[in-house]
Amino acid sequence: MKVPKVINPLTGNSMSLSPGSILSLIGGALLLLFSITAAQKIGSKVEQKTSLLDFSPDPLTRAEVKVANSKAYFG
Amino acid sequence: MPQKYRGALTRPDIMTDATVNVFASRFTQIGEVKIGAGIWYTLGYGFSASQGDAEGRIYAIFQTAVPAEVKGTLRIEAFTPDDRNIAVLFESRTEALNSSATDRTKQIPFPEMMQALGEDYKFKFFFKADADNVLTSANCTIVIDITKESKSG
Repeated sequence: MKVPKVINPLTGNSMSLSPGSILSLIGGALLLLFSITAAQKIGSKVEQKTSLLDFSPDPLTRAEVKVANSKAYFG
Repeated sequence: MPQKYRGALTRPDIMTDATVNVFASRFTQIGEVKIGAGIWYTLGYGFSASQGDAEGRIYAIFQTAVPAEVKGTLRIEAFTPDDRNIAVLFESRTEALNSSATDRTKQIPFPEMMQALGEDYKFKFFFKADADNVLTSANCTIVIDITKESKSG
C-alpha cells in the first residue's frame, strides 16, 4: 500500500504518514476544535451569569430607591 | 422611629371659609393646609401612576350654593412659612378632576411627589374659574391622597 509522504518544512526530510498517524492528526485537530468551541461556550455562559448578577433589581425596589433618592424635604 | 403612612386632605382641611369668590381672569386662593410640628406631608401616595393600579388619587368638584358645578383650573403650590412660593406642584382642569366620586380607578392617579413639606410650610390651593362665580365650601368636595412621614425623635 502506498503511504503518503510529507516533507518536514523545518528539516527538509520527508516523513511517511501511516493511516494511523493521519487519523491521529485528524483526531487531534478535531479535539483542538472542540476545545476551542467548548471554551467559547463556557466563556459566554460565564459572561451571561455575570450579566445576570448585574441585573437590576425588580421594578418595585428600583422605584422605592428612586423616590427615596429623589425626595426633597422642606422644614 | 420615623414612620411613613397614607393620609388624605379633604375639603374641610383646605377650604375653611363658607364661601369663596373665584374669577375668570386670575387664580384665587381658595384654601391652604399648614403643616404641623413633627411631620412631613407629601402630596400623593404610592409609586404607580397607572390609571387602573395607582394607589394615590385626587378628586375634586367645586360648586355654587345651588349647587351647580363651577368649571375651571385647580392649582396646588408649596409655600414657605413666610408665604414665599417654592413650586407649583399640581394643576388640572375640573373636567379631569371630577371624574368619578365613587370609582377610584377613574380618578386622576396621584403617586407620591418629590417635595415633602414640614412644620409651618403650606400647601396653598388656587382656582381660576371659567367665569366669575362664588363657591360654597359645603357643596365642594376635595379628596387628595397624601403621604405622611413622622420625624424621628
